[in-house]
Amino acid sequence: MIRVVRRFLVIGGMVVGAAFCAAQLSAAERVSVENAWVPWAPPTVAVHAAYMTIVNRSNEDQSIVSAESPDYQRVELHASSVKNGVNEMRDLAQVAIPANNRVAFEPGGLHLMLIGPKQVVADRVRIVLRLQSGEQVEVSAVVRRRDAGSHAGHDHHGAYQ
Amino acid sequence: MTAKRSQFLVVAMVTAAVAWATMAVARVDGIILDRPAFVQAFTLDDHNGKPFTADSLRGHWSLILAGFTNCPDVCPFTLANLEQVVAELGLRVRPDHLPAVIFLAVDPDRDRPSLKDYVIQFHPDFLGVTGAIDEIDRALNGFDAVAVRSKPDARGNYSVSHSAAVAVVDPQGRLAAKINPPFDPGPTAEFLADLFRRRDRARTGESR
Repeated sequence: MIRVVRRFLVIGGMVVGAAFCAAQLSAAERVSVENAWVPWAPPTVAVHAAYMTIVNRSNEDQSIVSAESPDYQRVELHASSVKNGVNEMRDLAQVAIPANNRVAFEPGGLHLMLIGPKQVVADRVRIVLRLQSGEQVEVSAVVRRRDAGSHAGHDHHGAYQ
Repeated sequence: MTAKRSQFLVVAMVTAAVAWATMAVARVDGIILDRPAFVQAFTLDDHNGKPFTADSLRGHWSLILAGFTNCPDVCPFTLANLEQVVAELGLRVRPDHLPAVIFLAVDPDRDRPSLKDYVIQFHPDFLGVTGAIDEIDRALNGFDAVAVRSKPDARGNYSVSHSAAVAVVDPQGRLAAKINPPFDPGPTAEFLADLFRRRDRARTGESR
């Protein structure tokens, strides 16, 4: 009797394990965010930026279509660029994160524009990225001082429109 | 294109070539004018409410960048780099040669309320200046810079495109050089220190 139960448990465990492996990765496992940060700014400054690296570990292209934050009125996807010696900032409808790739949001390039802080920004900023699939990725960005350094350059891995 | 500007461009290109040949060490996209150009008169206010005119540029070197306070990415990044540039210059030149850093805010309605806070977060001595649009444009013209304000969208939001270069103004109040991004602190400080040294040598030569 015990042997039968044990065999049943072993087979059952194998079935459950196989099912678990076959299941798709969750949204958070497919698309994740590293090194999210917000440069500290004085309370009176109405517009902040958020930088991060977005990693897509899945075999499917993903796309960020919008972002929001409980700490700000509104969040927009933006790209800075220099054209003919003039700084421009473009509003992006989406940012593609290609399969098994990563896209850096960094100074002088892609960034999230955080508009209208609801309170004085303290240690962390909460941001939610919405994917085209309807899923969302929660981000906790650390607030810190800027470091000086080079511009990000203009080589943003993923294509974006 | 005005004759003055095309002349400026020719001079700028020649000097850029010379500068490139003689200063290959510094990885800076900078242009030194052969003949510094006086900036035209303008009247702005600084972030303390004091008048700021072309005469305010006399007596010290100045680094001037155009920007606006609703610029969350490039403008703060440039200001943070200029803070480092001035720190690096402090190791290379005498204190009386250290340049003033001036943020020419080109979006006055939105800039005025937070201009001081925005600018001094990078250094307490940095100065924000702004004013009427036509005075801003006059000042920009003198620094060979532009600002273009986009049409507001349905929500009334708009952005401002502006020159990326930093204008270098000499103690006589003349545009002496321009530096394009990136503003890597070490090389940019070296570029400026070299410009100041040349100027000092030229002036010493003149007085002999």
